[in-house]
Amino acid sequence: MTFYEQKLQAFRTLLAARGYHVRVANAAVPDSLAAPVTVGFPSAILGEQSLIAVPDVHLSDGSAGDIFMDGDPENATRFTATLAAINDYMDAEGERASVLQLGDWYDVWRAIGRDASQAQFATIDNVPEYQKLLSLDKQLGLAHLIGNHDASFTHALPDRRVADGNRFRFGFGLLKSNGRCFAIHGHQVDDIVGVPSPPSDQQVVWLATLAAKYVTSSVRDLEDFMDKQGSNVGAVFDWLKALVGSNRPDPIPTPRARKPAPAGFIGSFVERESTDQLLRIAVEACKLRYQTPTELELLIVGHSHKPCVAWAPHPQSKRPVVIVDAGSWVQGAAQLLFGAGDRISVFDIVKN
Amino acid sequence: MKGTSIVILALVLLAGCAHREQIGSISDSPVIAAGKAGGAVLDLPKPIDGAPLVTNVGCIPDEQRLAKLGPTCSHETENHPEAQPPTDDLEPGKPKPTLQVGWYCDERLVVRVVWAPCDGNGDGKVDGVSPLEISVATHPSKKD
Repeated sequence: MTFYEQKLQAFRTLLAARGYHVRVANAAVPDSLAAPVTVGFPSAILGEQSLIAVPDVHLSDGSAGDIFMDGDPENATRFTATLAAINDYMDAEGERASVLQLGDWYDVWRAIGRDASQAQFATIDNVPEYQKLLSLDKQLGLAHLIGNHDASFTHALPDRRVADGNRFRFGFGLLKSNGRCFAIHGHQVDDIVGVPSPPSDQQVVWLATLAAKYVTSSVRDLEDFMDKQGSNVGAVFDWLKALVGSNRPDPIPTPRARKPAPAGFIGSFVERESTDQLLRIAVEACKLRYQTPTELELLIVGHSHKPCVAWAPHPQSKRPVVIVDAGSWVQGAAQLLFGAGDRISVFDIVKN
Repeated sequence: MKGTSIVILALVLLAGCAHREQIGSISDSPVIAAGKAGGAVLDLPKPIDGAPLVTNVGCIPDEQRLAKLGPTCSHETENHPEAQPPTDDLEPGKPKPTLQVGWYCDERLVVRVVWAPCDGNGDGKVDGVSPLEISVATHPSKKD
């Protein structure tokens, strides 16, 4: 049994005790053949550690418009069981495991109709079905990337997490890998792609660098951040403001074309949109974060709501960088990324 | 405890104080009670129960707060962005438990409770909360 299989079996056992099991998720592809979301690396990318990532959740007010609840309390029950199993797993593994949530934890836009400027999360915090899972979020000290639907966390944090500011970030380095493994929500490229008049490659790099600076900055207030940049960049400020705080709906992906695996890797790879731009931001963020970063090899993202494994050449070395999109918990989906040793997979959480 | 300043606050008091001619009551509701000796959520206490008050820290499972105390309210920001630490790597494992807050509002009264982590179900793991600090704003200039 490989290290990955050992750790996955341990997690399976904890989840089964709570009434659920895991099944490898499939990517949406144009053909009718399976495209399991799992990737084997040529070497142990995660070392002797395991990594769990919870994709977009979009907790809202529990009403008909709540795309997490989706009109069925089972979704909250299933997610609560999953968090409880993760909590048990983390208790058992200690510092040999890491867990994070990939952004859009709260859907502030759907809950209050706009981004919040104060701690305006009561309509989410008071949903009865969410009490246990919010308690588990606190018990886990779950780390959250900041996504486009909860960019309000740059202004205020939920009451349970008010003392946990260091667990809410635009980007996280993973596994103390010095930039080899990184995670961002994944919305940061929408506006690089979408700026008026398609930008030149040089402009894309410049915008990616600016976004990366903000991702890694200790200054969360956007106005203060732009002041520290020392220039009045006008339209760029508006662009960056839209990037971190706008109310854009999430993209609706179509099936993704298949893509041959890079040499030495095993898996059903697809063409994920905007991979080049995502890599540019992550690479620039790592340059800013680490004095001499190790070359990026793995990027974990969410945002698209559809799980997949993709790859793109590193902007400088051209070596393959694997991008794993962990899917979502919206509209009945229930997905979870689990990795250990030399393999990472995204699973559907299914009732026993 | 002699000389110890004790404070009892009943969330139901919010409703009682917000409308004229209503009689404030704490004996018909769960009550947050906290003093220097500790804090707890007491079920239907008599007003005088505040005298000997809490000598032990009482702990309730976190997820029971909504059912016991009712909904919280949105409020002003208390964790200002500049207070946040610089970006760093995700630390493996679970971090140490931290404090949390709950805000309860009525027209005039706003109560802010700081909750400390504790073991709510006695299994040796932190999964509950115990009141640690209470702040009350009475907003006297606001009309009922």
